[in-house]
Amino acid sequence: MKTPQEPETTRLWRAPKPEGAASQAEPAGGLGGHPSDLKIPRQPLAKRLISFPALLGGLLVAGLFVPLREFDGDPDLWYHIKFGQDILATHRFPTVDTYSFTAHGTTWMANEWLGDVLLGAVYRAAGLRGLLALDLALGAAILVALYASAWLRTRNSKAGFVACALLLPLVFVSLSLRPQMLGYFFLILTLIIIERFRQGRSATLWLLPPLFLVWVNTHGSFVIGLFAVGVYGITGLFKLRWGALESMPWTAAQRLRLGTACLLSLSVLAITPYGVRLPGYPIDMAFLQPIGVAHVQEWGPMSFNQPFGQYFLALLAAFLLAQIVFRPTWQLAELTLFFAGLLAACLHTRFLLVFVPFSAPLFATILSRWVPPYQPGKDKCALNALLMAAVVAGIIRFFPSREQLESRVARHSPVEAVQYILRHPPPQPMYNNYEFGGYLIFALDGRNKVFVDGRADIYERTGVLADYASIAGVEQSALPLLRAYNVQSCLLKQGEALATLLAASSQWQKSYADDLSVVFVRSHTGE
Amino acid sequence: MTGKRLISFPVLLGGLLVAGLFVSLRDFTVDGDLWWHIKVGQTILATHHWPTTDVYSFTAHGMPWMAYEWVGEVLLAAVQRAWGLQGLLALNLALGAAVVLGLYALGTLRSRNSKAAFVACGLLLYLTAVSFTLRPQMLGYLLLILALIILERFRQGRVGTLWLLPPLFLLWVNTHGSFVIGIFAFGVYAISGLFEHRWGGLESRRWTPAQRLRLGIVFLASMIVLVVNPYGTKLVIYPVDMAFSQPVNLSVIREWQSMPFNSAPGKLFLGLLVGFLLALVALRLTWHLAEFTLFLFGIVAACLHARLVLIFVPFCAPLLAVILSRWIPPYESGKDKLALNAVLIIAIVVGIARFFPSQTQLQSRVEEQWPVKAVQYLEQHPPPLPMFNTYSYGGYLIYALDGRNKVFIDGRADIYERVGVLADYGRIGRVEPIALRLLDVYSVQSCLIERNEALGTLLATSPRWQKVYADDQSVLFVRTQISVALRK
Repeated sequence: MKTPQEPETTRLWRAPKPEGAASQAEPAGGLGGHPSDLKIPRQPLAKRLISFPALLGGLLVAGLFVPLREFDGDPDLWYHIKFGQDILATHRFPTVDTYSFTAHGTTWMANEWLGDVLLGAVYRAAGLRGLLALDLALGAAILVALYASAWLRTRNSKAGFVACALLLPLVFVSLSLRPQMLGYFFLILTLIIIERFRQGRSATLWLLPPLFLVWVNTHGSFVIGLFAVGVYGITGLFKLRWGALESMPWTAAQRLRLGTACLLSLSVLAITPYGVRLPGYPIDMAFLQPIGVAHVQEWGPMSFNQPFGQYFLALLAAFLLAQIVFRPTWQLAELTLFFAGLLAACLHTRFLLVFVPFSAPLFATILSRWVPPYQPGKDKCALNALLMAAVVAGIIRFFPSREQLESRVARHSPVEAVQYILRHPPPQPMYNNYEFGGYLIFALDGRNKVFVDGRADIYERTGVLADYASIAGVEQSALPLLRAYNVQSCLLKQGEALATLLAASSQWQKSYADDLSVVFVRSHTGE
Repeated sequence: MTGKRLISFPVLLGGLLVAGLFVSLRDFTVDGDLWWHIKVGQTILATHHWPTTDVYSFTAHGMPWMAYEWVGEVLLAAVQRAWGLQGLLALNLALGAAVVLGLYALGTLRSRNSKAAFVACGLLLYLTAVSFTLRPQMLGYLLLILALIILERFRQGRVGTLWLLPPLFLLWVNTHGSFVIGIFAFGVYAISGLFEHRWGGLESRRWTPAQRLRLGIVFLASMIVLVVNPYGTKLVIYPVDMAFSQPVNLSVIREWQSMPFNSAPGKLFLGLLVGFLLALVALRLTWHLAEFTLFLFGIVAACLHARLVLIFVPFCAPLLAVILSRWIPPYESGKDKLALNAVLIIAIVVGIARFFPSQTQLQSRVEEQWPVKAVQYLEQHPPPLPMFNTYSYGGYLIYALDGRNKVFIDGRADIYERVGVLADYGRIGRVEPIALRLLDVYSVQSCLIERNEALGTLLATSPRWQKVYADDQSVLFVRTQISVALRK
C-alpha cells in the first residue's frame, strides 16, 4: 500500500481499515494505526447494542455460560470468601494467620484482599447464586474484553470473534471464581489501553494508574501488566525492521505521556494496606516458594496429555504454519508478549491466562485474511435483537437454582463431612487434605483450625508444606510427622494414599466416610 | 586426500561431539529395561528360538508375547557375554557416537556448512543424550537418521543410496518399532514431491518421472521386507498396537508422559521452539514442504510424549543448521591447520581411552542404581514366592536371578497391560484402598520394592507384613505368618 511519495513512518503507522471500509484484498496483518487515519462511522448507541458484532459478543458469553453453570467452587474460593467476610466484619486487614494450627500467628497478609471483599460481599448478599452470577459476569467481561482487544488490533469483529471462540476452551481453564479472574480482566484492559495508545488515542492511557491501584490490591498478576506496559514502552524507543518484525519509535509527546503514566502506575503500587510488601509479594512467589511451585497442580508445566494441552499444541502448530505460509508482519511488542505468554503457559499451566490475551490479537490478525469484515449496511438488527434476547432468556432460564448449586458444591467439597464434624466434633488438632482446607476455614467458621489450605506461601515458609507433601505422599516419615504435629484426627479424600495407610494402621480408626471424604481419629488403644 | 580429510577441521568437530557425548555417557546410567533385553537376547542365542509366550513373570506366564526388538537384544547379549559391562558401555558410546555423527552429517548435508551443523548438533546434544540409554531404541534412532540422510541425498539428486532403504528397513523392523517413523518420513518426502508449489516460505518441487519410479520401487521393496521377521505381520503392526491399544502404558509410564517443561531438557526444547519461531518471523527463510512437515510432526510428538524428543532432534537438526549458517561462515579447507587437528583428534581418542571406566567402577555404578545387594540376599535367603516387585526392578530381577524367581512386572508394559497387571500394579503402587487386597489376590508372599516408595510405608504399618531386609536402595517384606515360620 506504500505510494512513492509516502514516507516510511506513515506507512508503518497505517491503521487497519475500519470495518465497513476495509478492502478484503488487504489483510490486516500490518501494524496498528494512528488516530488521524481512523474514520470509523459511528452508529447510534442503541443500534450498536443490537448490531451483529454485539450479537457475536453475546454468543461468546452464551458459550461461556454452558460450562460455567456447572459451578463447583474452586477449593480456594471458600477461604477467599471467609477472608473477605472477616475484613468486612472487623474493618481490619489481617497481618498474622489465625486460620491454621500449623502456621498460627505467623506473619501473613491477605494479598488479594479487594477480591476477597468482593467475594465475601457477594456471598453475603446473594449466596451461591450470587457467586455463580459473579463468575459469569467476570467471565463475560473477560471474554468481551478479549473480543474487543482482538477487534481493536484487526478492526474485524468477525475475525476477533472467531479468534476468541477458538481460544474459549483455553479461557475456560482459568475461569474458576477467585480474585485471579479480576486480575485476568485487568490484564486485558491494560492491553486494550496500551493498544489504543499505540494507535494514537492517548487519553485512555491515564486510566492505567487507577487500574494498577485496584489491581495491586486485588491480585499479584499486576506484575504481568507492568511487564506488558514495559514491553510496549521499551520497544517504542527505537525503530526496527527485521524480517516480519517491526517497531516504530514513540513521538516525544508519546514518550512523555507514557513515562508519566508508568511513573504514576508504579507510585500507586505502594497504596495498599500492607505498603510495599504487597507489590513485593509476586517476586516472593516466583523465587522463594519452590515447593509450592513444584507441588501445586496449577503451577505444574503444560500437560499435553490433557485435552486443553493438546488443543494448545494444535493452536501453536497452526500459528507456526500460518507464520511460514502467510508471513504476516508483527509489531515487536506484540510478538514479544506472545512469546512471553507461550513460555509462561508451557512452564506453568496457570499462565494460560497470560497466553490467551497475548495471542488473541495475533490469531485474529491471521484469521482476518479469510474472514471478511463486518458491513453495517447488511446488518439485520431485528434478527440480532431477537437472538440476543434469546441468549439472555436462555441464561435466565437455565441459571441453576440454589439447591442445584449446593449439590454441585457437595460433589467437590466435604459438605457432608463438615456436617458430621459439627455434630460430632473430632479430637483436635485435625489434619486435612490440602484441597479441603479452604472449605473447612469457610464452613467451620474458625472453630477448627486447619492443618493446611490453599495459601501455600505461608505453609511453605513455616515448613508445613514440605511436611504435608511427605505425609500425603505416604513417605516413611508420614506417621511420625502426624505424631510430631500431635494430630488427633484426619479429614481425607476417599481413596487417597494416606487413607489406605491409616486404615491399615492399628493406631487409627475410621469414624466417618461418605463418597467424597473420610474421617479418621487416633485410637489410643492401638498405641 | 582421504588421509587429509580424516584430520580435517570438520572431522575434528565430529570428534568434539563424540568427546562431549563421552563425558555424559561415562557415568553409565543404565536403563532398567537393558537387563531384560540382555536376558531375552541370551535366551535366543542359547535356544536358537524366538520366544512366543512369556516365561519371565508369574502374572502373565504363558501369555502370547514376542521379542519384537530381537536383533538389538541379541546384539546386547553378545556384547555383554564377550566384554561384560565395559563392552556394554563401549557399545553405548559407539551407538551414541554414530547417532551424533549421523546428525552432524545430516545437518552438513542440508546446510552445506559443517560448522553450522556442529553448532546445531552441539545445541541438540543435551536433548539427544537424554535418549541415549542403552536399549535397542538406540539402533532405531541411528537407522532413522540414516534413512533421513538417504532421503535428503536423493532429494539433492544423488539417487544411488536410495537402494539402501529396503535392507535398512529389513534390519529396522527386527530391531525397533521406530521403523514406522521411517516409513512416515519416507512417505512425507515422496508425497511432497508429487506436486510443485510455493506457499510463502514453503516450497515443494516435483520429482522427475525417473525419480518417481525409483521412489515407488524402493518404497514397495521397503514395505515387502517388513514381513521378513520371525513373527510375520504381527511384528509389523506392533507399533500400531502400542499407539492405540495400550492406554495405561501411555498414561503411567514416565517416558510416555508429555514434555516436562520444568526439567532442563524441557526448557531447552522450549527455548529451541521459541528460537525457531523467532527465526521464522525475522529471517523469512524458505523450507521444503517435507522437512517442515517432519519438523512440525517432531514438535507435536515430543510435546505429547517426552520420549519422542528422539524424533524431534533429527527432524530439527538440519533446519537449525540452515538457520545458523546465516551467521556462521562455511569451512574453508585452505585455512585448515591439519597438524593441530590431528593432535586434537588424537587427544580425544587418548582421553576416551584414558578415562574409560574400569569393570570395577562400572559394577559399582550398577550397584548404585539396581538392587544388586538385595538380589544377593535373595539368593542366600530365598523368599517365599510369588514376589511382588517395583516396576523398574523387574528387568534386573529377570537378568540377575536368571529366571529362578518369576517377576510380578517388568518393563514389558505391553504384555502386562493386556492381562490387566499394569493397571493393578498402578493401584498397588499408588497405595489405593484396594492395594493390600490386590496383593492377596495375586497370592503375593513377599515384596521387593524401592526403599522410599509409599507401598513400603503401608507394608511397614500393616501387621500382616514384616520387613526382613533393607539396604540403601531397596527393602524386602514378607507376610508375617511366613516370616514367623522362617524364624522358627
